[in-house]
Amino acid sequence: MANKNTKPAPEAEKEQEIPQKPAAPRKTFKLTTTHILWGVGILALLIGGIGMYQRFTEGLRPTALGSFVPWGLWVATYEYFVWLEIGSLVVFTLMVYVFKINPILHKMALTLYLTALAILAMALILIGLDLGHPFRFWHVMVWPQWNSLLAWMIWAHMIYMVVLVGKLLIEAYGKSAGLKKLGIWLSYISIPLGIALVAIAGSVFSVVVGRPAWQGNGLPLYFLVSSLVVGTGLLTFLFVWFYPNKEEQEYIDTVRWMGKLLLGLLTVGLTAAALGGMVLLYPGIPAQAEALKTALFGPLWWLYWVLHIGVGVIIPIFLLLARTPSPKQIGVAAGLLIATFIAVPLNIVVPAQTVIGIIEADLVNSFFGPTLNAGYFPTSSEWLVTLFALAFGFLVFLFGFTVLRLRPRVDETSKEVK
Amino acid sequence: MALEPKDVLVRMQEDLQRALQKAPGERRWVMVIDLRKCVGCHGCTIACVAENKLPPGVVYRPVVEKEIGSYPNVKRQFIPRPCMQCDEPPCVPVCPVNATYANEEGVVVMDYDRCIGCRYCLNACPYSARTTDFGYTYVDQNLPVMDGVLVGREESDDYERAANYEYGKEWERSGGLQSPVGNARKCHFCLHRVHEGELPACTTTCIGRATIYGDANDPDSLVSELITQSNAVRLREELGTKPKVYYLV
Repeated sequence: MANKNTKPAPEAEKEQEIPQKPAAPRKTFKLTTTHILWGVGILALLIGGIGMYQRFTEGLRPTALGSFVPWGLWVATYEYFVWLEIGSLVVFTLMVYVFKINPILHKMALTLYLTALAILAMALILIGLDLGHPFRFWHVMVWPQWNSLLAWMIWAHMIYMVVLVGKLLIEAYGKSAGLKKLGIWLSYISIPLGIALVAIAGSVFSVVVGRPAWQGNGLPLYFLVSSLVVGTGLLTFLFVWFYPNKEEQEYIDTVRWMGKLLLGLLTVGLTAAALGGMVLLYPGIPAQAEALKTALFGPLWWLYWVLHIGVGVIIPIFLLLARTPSPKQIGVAAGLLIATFIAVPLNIVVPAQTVIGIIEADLVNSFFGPTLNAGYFPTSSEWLVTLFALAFGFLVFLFGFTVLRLRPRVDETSKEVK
Repeated sequence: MALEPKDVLVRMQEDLQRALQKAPGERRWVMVIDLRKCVGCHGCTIACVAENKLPPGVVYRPVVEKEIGSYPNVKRQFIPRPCMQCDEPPCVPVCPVNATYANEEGVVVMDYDRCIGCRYCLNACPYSARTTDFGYTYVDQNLPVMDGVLVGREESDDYERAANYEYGKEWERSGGLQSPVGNARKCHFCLHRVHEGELPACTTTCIGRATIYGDANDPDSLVSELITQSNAVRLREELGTKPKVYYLV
């Protein structure tokens, strides 16, 4: 025990003279879900980067594409992303701005626009890399041929991108009444523009005389219906996943309303698919029917029956048909639907090309070459590039959501989004 | 004493010289393939590959082989299939950048420097007459479906990388991804030869004189005589594409 009268040692005096700094609170790193998501996204981007390296050093050689099957996974995925992006925005705009129903959905505007922008980025990466000369994409801007629906599609998508970015910026930072009015007008414009884009994307296929399974006037309509189905699915999924106040009655009612809409659109989509299939099968013309038979009963039959119909349609319908489905149930149904619906564009794009006409059928057995095959299954390189695009889109979303805080708008008293 | 019939090659050469005296817009190049004379030697395919230095996977003039019937009543049919050079070509309007078009002589040509490589024209062609150049070479070590010993690899490599002269321009193949790699490619009736007064490579090479080439706007040309015969047919006429390649059956 120290004596109070004891003279302190000289060193101890010094210590007493110098005021000790208060110890700074130690920052401890805490691993959060956001950190993990950033890590996963960057890791996926790096892994996908291998495919990108191959793409830029070896061109299209590492792909399974060829001269008889010139379009594959990337084109199908692009079409799917167009459906998702446009469908969700059209349904949202119709509900919020045109019919003015479910006003609570307006709080999701920022998150939805951000998601659509991320999907658009993924779509443009994939369709750009599908080109034999990706760095010549600007040729379509400078030398467009307006007879070509592909030129129309690219132009429509570019204009849509400008509209979407405008809507996002106005929604996020537009304070004045004039800007808000402009945002509403952009929303109105985006409806016919979006519908036109999806219909043009379908027409790109339906005008092709060389592929009988695509030909006709069915695909543009089918694309529209599919876009509305997956768009509603995406909107529902985002609403259920990201809306913060899940106890609000208005939220629960709106989710149930959207579940019913999803169920209705899914029924319309199934009917359209069945009718389209029957029209192809009934005449018994092999050039038309074989593509569908390949999709339904070919080597990748499971893609349609198990992934799409089983997981993506039957289970969601079962969940949606419950008497009073919980928002979580509806969210799961929407999630399953959008996660598996990629099987549909894949089955539209690929089998129609693998089933070749009489001339090509003999040609395949007459002249051989590395790209003169009638079959197609994506190579690892194609999957890696697709992974890169997905990771890029995911990181765009994450950046917008966590850094720019483009989140659902809720009242101050409401809970923060975690 | 009957006159010795003139060799069709000589006749076609004379027709060609006459056609070249006219303005390009007044010519209408047509090809006639006499299937009764084709023996399936694939000489035209090889000549085309050599003339245009076509890489693996790119073919302008394959000879489609069909086997008809079953043993012992089997017959084999050979159908050379160049680009049909349609008057209403489905491949042209689909191109988003006007990189493919029918020139003033009616031949569907490519602008390699403008083509973005979307391959829409490949899907649009009902004759599968277009292929994409994916950048392979025959001496490529890792070339799929090309197993086997390749003698003189280095010499072959030099030859493959030498320029071809399609559309009257030099197209080198240095091993990179520059055009025509990444582009759609197609038969162009060897216009670079024709403009120099030479017949297309497939025509001069045909040992059976089964391929006839000339100006259909010249009533004295051999092709004008042949395309009016009752046995002259065109592939998939029901599409209304009006091919300029006729088959004598």
